[in-house]
Amino acid sequence: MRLLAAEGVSKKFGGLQAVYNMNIWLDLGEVVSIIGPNGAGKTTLLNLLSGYLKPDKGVIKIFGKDVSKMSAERIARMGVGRTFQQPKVFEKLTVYENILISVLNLCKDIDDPHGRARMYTEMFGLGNVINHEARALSFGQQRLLEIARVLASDPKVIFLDEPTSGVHISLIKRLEEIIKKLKNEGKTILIVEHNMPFVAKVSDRVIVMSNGSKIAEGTYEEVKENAKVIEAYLGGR
Amino acid sequence: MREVIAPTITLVTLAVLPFFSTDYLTTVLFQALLWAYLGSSWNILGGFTGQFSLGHAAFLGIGAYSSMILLSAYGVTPWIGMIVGGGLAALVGAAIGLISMRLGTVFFALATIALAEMMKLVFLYLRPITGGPLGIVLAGGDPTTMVFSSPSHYYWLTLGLLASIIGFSYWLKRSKFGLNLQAIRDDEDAAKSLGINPLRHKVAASGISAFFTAIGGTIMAQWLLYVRPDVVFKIDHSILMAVTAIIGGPYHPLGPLLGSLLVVPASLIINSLLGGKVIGLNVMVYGFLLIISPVFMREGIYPWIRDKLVRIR
Ligand SMILES: Nc1ncnc2c1ncn2[C@@H]1O[C@H](COP(=O)(O)OP(=O)(O)OP(=O)(O)O)[C@@H](O)[C@H]1O
Ligand SMILES: [Mg+2]
Repeated sequence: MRLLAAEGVSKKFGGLQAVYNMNIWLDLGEVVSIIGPNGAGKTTLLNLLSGYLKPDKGVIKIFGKDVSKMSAERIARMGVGRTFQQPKVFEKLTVYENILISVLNLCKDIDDPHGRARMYTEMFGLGNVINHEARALSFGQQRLLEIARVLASDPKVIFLDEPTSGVHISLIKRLEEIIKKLKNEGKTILIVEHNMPFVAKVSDRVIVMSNGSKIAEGTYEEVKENAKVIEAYLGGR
Repeated sequence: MREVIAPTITLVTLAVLPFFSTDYLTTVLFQALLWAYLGSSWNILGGFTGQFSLGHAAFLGIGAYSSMILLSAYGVTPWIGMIVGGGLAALVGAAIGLISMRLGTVFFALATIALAEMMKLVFLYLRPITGGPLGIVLAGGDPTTMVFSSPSHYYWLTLGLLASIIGFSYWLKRSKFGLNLQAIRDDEDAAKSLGINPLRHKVAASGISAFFTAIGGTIMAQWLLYVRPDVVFKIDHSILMAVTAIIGGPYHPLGPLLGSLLVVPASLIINSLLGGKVIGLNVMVYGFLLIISPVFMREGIYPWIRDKLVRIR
């Protein structure tokens, strides 16, 4: 079942064509990764898909609904969760409140929001800092907090922007397991990532972007051998 | 449970103070409590939501005038009039938020300053209703019209209001609505990613903050027994509300009270020492405090004192 379909999506910043004529789709239960050199337009694409930016051209449909002009908060309420490349936590709220607020706003008819918030705090090894203000956390911990926050809201579609960057290797393993478990539960996940071993392990499909466009798509093994991909990474922009 | 200890001790201490104090001292403390209440009202928008208003005198004035006009022209008691004034102020507060908040925090701050200045002119010119530059004067009254013979009665009334808003602030710190406000303050993009509509929340916070502020305006008018445009729509008032919260600690429900207990007596003392000869001195002092205090205590006095107390224990 097709959950997300974007066609001909373009976005310009001044004279810079950040995303050009992108087509991307996600089916139920898929884990798809977007890779590509710095400045390829990966984050911009996530911002377009989640309503933080409006496309100049193209149509984005999520659950069959045109969301191209929809606000970010309405898209979030449809069950589309995301994290940010630079972790965005609520710095003066505690770790616990950061997660609780996600449960309170997005989980409908939940009996025990506090229990759920606690569970997600523990799941990402944040139990020992549960009552600390989020700004007291390290970069890596803030990243984990952000992932815990989005997952706690039980989204159907999840966008993660560089989830492993700044995170310790043992927790990256944990993240791999969590993503596989989410996949088995029928979640659909789109990941932007530079960490290739991680991409290789979790992805069903990989999309390679360069200069705002898709230059290759397939399994990790397929795109790895693609000449255009090798050139994009070696040649830069 | 531990959370209620500090506010309970503080409020009980404040409640018995008039028994041990002179009328003059009670008057000073009454003013400190009134500004603590007003600072707490301001803080719902400033501290919780991160939207800095520098024109809250507009809501103070709307409250003062509403109850005064209702009483003097229609014989409606201020006990009811203050709710009407609160409602009107809430509408104006929400409207100014709706118009200016989407343009960013700086624009909102400017818009609120302009609002207070506009209100002053409107109330000056609407002479048949407002009494123009001379305002409205009350001949007298009794507790049924919120006029009391002793300053301690004004004091306790204000303390009651202060206790309510501090209680409300504690609730707000924990409730879903209040968490959403704080989330918007800390990171609007992240708040959106949780389905929170920032504008709607900020507008609501502005309305609530204006409502409480207006009730403080009624108290002020009933204390002075008159109301005049230049007395209520003063930028000094707008700044003092922000100052009590910012100096005391905008991120804690007891912050504005702490700030007010410090700033208000100090400014009364300075003024009486100089015999009120230096016009605009208040604004200078508040402005100075506003500028320097964050340099020493980024989040006000409250966290500083709390850390000291924790160390002692
Ligand atoms: N808000 C913006 N305004 C102007 N230019 C922008 C903006 N956001 C991104 N860009 C530009 O668009 C291009 C694509 O940026 P984007 O952040 O999407 O790249 P990316 O693929 O995520 O890179 P990285 O791997 O380094 O995160 C870059 O050249 C960037 O400078
Ligand atoms: Mg990026």
